[in-house]
Amino acid sequence: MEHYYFDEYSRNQSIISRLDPRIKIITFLAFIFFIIFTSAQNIYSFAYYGLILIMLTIFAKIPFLFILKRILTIIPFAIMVAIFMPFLKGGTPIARWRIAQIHFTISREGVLIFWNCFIKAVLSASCLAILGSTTKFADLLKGLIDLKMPKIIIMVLSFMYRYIFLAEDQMMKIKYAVAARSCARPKIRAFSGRLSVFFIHVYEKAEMVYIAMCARGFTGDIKTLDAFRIKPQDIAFMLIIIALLTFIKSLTGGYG
Amino acid sequence: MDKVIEIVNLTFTYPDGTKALQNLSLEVAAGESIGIIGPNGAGKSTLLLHLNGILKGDGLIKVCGLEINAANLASIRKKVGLVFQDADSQLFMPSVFDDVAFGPLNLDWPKEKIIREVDSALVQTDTMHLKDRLSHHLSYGEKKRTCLATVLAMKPEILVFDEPSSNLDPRHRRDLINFLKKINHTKVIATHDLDFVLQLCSRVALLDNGRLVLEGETIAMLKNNALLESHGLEAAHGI
Amino acid sequence: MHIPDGFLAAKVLIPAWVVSAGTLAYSIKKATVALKERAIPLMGVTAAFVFIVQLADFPVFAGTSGHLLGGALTAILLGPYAAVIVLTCVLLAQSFILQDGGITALGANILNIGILNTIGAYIPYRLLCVTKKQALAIFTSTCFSVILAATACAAELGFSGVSPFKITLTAMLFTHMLTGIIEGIITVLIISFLRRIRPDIIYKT
Repeated sequence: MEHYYFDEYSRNQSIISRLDPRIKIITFLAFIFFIIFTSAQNIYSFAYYGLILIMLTIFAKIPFLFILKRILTIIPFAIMVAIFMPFLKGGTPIARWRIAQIHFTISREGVLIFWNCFIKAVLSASCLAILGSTTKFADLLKGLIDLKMPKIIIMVLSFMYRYIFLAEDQMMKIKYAVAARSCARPKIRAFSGRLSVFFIHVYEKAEMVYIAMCARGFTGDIKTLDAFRIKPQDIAFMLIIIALLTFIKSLTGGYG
Repeated sequence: MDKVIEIVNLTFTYPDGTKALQNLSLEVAAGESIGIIGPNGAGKSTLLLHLNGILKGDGLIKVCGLEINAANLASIRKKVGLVFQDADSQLFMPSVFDDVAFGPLNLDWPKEKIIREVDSALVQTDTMHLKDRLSHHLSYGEKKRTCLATVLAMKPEILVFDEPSSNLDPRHRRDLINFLKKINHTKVIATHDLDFVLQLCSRVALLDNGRLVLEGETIAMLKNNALLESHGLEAAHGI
Repeated sequence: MHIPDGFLAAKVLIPAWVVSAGTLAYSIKKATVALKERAIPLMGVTAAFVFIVQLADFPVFAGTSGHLLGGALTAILLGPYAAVIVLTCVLLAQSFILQDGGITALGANILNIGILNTIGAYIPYRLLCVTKKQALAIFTSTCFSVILAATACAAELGFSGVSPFKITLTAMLFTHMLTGIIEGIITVLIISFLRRIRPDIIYKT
């Protein structure tokens, strides 16, 4: 089965993938905070944020299609949830029409609410997409340890990552096998049965891995060779981005 | 000669009731290579898992003079390097280098020592060229050599192998035999491969149904066809 | 039901973060004490499964599709504290890897899917176990927890002024009642299977 690796662009040796993971985590999280706290009316700010993200995508040598695909998953949610507000929120009307005796009004305030959700979700997701795809998952975890994430979470995450590919493979096989049947009841039974069998199989394998870890002296502490050292380019990256974002956020303008 | 492994009346029952080991007693001297043979289900793997405290049964086990208990576990696990039958369960880090460094990191060695010992283990097992590779991309033979490296890097005194030659092609098997002949560690080798035992072990212990049936000098044991067959084994070709 | 960044108002998000962080911290503390050695790989494997299972969507009704959440199964299998941790890890991974659910929104997503969906199944399950009708206990608590999570999600979006509460609640309840029933059946089947084959894995107080 073909696997795509979530962090596939972390191996492409771009400027971004070579940055210290801790710096990247902090910088991109800060970016998201800037986005969230920018007022919806400051349309130009969001445009500039978008420009920075496009530049980062280019520097990271990530195909735009990849980021686009990630954003696409947000759109259905945004539409299903926030689409009502332009119609329901009272305020300054900016459009009106009538379909078969029913009046539809779209208000500026409502559109602003929709825009607020939409643009912030899209930009934030892009930040995470760049971060996630340019950082090896193991490095992400190491970075999180340094940033004081609780150890048990790191351990569960690393075991989880190890087994996701295995589980993904098997799920595909289960889906195909189950799709071959025709009605609903046997589908659920077959699905649950195969899922359970495979769960036990993978679990027993994971038990052996844990035993092997203990046999090599593991006692619960995750230790690393401290490969990370903050280099001047890491600090430069963080400072430049934060400076740009601060400047952009201070811009007002757009539809007040 | 010093006894590095002393097992006295070891009994172990699995949670589901299976009596895996019954009153087993065995001694291994320093530098000795002992073969543990027996049919499937005899308790060989179970016995091996007791040697570094993974399983805890009733009875006494001393490794290098230390009784295996919670306080000594860290030291025991440094002294005893266990190479599992399933290579995949032993390779769990993102790269070969990380896997081999895992053990030394847990021993809290200084960084330079860790890198030195990891490189040494990689060179010894001819896996240096694999060091940045993803473990599950390796071939079976490469995986087995990497597993050996993960254990050697911790500089153990005793090496314990569970079916080391299973699924190895003839060349890898031969390389492994030659390698094990060169090193001085005390070796405990559980295997079905009686030719392997013949070439490497001076003593053999035959297990069946969780009991030690007989132990003795290799050639005498392996020539005893009647004994071997009555315990589900066949005579080695080399005799 | 994973809420992206930018949807929730601070007045909803901040209390959600406080509750989530507090519950998570408490769960970590309790789990670290009670955990047997083997629990970590079990938690990791369960997390992998929940991650994958949440990716699959299946047709529910006339074009809409539903998702399994897995919180109830995890809570019954691993106990409440481990389940909170496992689902939190799944949400973290989904946010970082798939951008399914935002980072700032994690406070709310953990509350809905990591806490209400897990503990909201575990408590009814333990209460209903008294009736000795295992399958019913599992089924009911699973359905309940799914609906609870969906309601909380709708409430958060409603109070943030991002969607009309009544409409969103109706829509979410409708889809999640159906997915809840399916998830209930699957959870019953899986737990009964695991009980036969590896009863030692299942959480016992």
